Amino acid sequence: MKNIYKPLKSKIENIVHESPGIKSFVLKPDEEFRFDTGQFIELTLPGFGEAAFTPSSSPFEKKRFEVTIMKAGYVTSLFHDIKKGIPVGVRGPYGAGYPVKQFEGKDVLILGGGVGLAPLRSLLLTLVAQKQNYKRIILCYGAKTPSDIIYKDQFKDWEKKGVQILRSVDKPDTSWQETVGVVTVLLDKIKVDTSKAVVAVCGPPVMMKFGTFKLLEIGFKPQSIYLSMERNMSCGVGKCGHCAFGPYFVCKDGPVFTYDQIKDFPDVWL
Amino acid sequence: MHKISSEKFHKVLEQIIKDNETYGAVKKRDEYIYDRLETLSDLEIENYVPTVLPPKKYFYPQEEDLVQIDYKTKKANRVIFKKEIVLLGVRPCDINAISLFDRIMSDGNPDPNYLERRKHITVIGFDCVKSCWEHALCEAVGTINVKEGYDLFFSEYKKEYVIKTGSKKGEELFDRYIKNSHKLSEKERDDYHHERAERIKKFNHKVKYLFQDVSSIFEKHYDDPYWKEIGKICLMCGSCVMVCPTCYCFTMDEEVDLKLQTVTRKRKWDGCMLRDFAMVAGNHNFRPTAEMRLKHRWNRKFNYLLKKYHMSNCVGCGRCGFACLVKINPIDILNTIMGNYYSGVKHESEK
Repeated sequence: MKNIYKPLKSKIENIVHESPGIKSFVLKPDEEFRFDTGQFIELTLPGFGEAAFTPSSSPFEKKRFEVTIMKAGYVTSLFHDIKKGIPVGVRGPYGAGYPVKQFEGKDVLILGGGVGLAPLRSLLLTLVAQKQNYKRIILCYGAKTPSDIIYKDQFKDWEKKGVQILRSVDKPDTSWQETVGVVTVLLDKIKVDTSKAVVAVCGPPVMMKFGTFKLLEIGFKPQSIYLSMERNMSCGVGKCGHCAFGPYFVCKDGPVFTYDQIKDFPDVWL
Repeated sequence: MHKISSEKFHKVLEQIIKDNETYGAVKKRDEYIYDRLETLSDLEIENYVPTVLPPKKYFYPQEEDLVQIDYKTKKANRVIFKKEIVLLGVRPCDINAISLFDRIMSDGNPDPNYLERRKHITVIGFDCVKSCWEHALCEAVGTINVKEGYDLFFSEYKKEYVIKTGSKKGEELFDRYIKNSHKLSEKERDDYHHERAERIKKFNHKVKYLFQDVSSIFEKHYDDPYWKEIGKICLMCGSCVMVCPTCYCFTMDEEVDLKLQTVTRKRKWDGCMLRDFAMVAGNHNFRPTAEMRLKHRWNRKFNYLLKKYHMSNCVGCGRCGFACLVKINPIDILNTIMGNYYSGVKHESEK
């Protein structure tokens, strides 16, 4: 029987400072590591603890992958203190990711807030690599301030590859020339035929909530809204109960759900 | 189905205790606990009341090692604690809980630690001839009857004991310890079932409504005002979770030994009634109030998991009601919420 609690040894090959409080880590596991975009992993710092992250890199790369970590709690703070070369443990991948097959032939809208762009970047890279399969790829991204934007130097490259990009910040600085406001204001600026489009949303809970409401308002069907839900995923395999979400476990049945799947649950937005 | 005399029943138990590392219900001060049996006189048979902790502690210890990691090389090895033991005198409620555990732990991603250890544990059940205490609701939730989860099962019948085997291991035990026994005739069998049904009629029967409708009622009355009421008094101590025979949630912790040589990943009991259970990094809590946690816990018992496993995930032992410092208990929960539903009390979202 497979041991579901044993981590795979991996090395931190590189650390990238994305913004104050957010870093990306390039990990090289001892064995080839495959995941579907949107699936998550459990990352261990041996002796300290484990936390769940969604890889932010392309799933087509099998030798190494990246996670983007915001300093927010115990384990994430420790990750911000470590240096390159340190061995860590990886379990997974777990859960159900984005069903990209079902996005084919459609406009794909990506709506991200803050560090929530991490799993969406993995999705974006997946889509871009086979962009002939999709009508358009549109990224709407919001952050608190220009310096809080992550993957700063990559937007140009994505734009070159045909992604339509709209960005907003809550608090601009003097050099900011793009939109000001919460990320949902960007949705007023785009034109999509919501009957032939899907949207993937990830961000802080409050942004997910109002983002979804806005998307419904502009005509998206609940079954076309893909939400990457956050809960306290601990074991990753549907056993420990921490991420219980109504009758579902986010780790096993998610983390990606359509709004249609969960809309009737109590306490969806908290 | 066979039966043996009361005298033989006691002799068989004595022999089982002699031959095996056996655990059963033992009186300790005013309460009962599962503990090691040296002789049959240690075991409480007649006056059993539910033990403080269910036998879950042998299948699923409060704390166990899962993985050991060498601190220097970071090489990880699995660890599984197992021991050949016999649990004697497990009651129907706890047997049903074990059977649920077996299904939950083998579902989806099988849990190697539980399943490996489980193979080494023999379960010998005793039927209940009378209600054990006022907190029990086994007859209401349907867990007074056992289908699986045991190896041997003894049920008193006219001062004798009827024996059922529930597994291959049970048949082997039967051949080894019981040998000569009287096979029940069809008439005796019918009479036994009839007598058993008659004695169950004398149990508590405190749940006033038909249990079979519980999950749809819990769904429809998700916002029943009773949750707010008990949410206000709940101390969030987690006692209900810790004594529950079917609660299986856990947390994982890493501990480093003092020599800094080994990291041990441990599994420890955890509970959804505790404050930080659903909390994520950044201190965002997905179930911040006692009301939400109570709703969640009882919906798991009577709604979500009931639907998934087609049986009540509250096995009606009543341990939680007894342990609760403010007397929140499943009998009142069922009676109030089902009562509110039938009497048409509006819940929050309908107001």
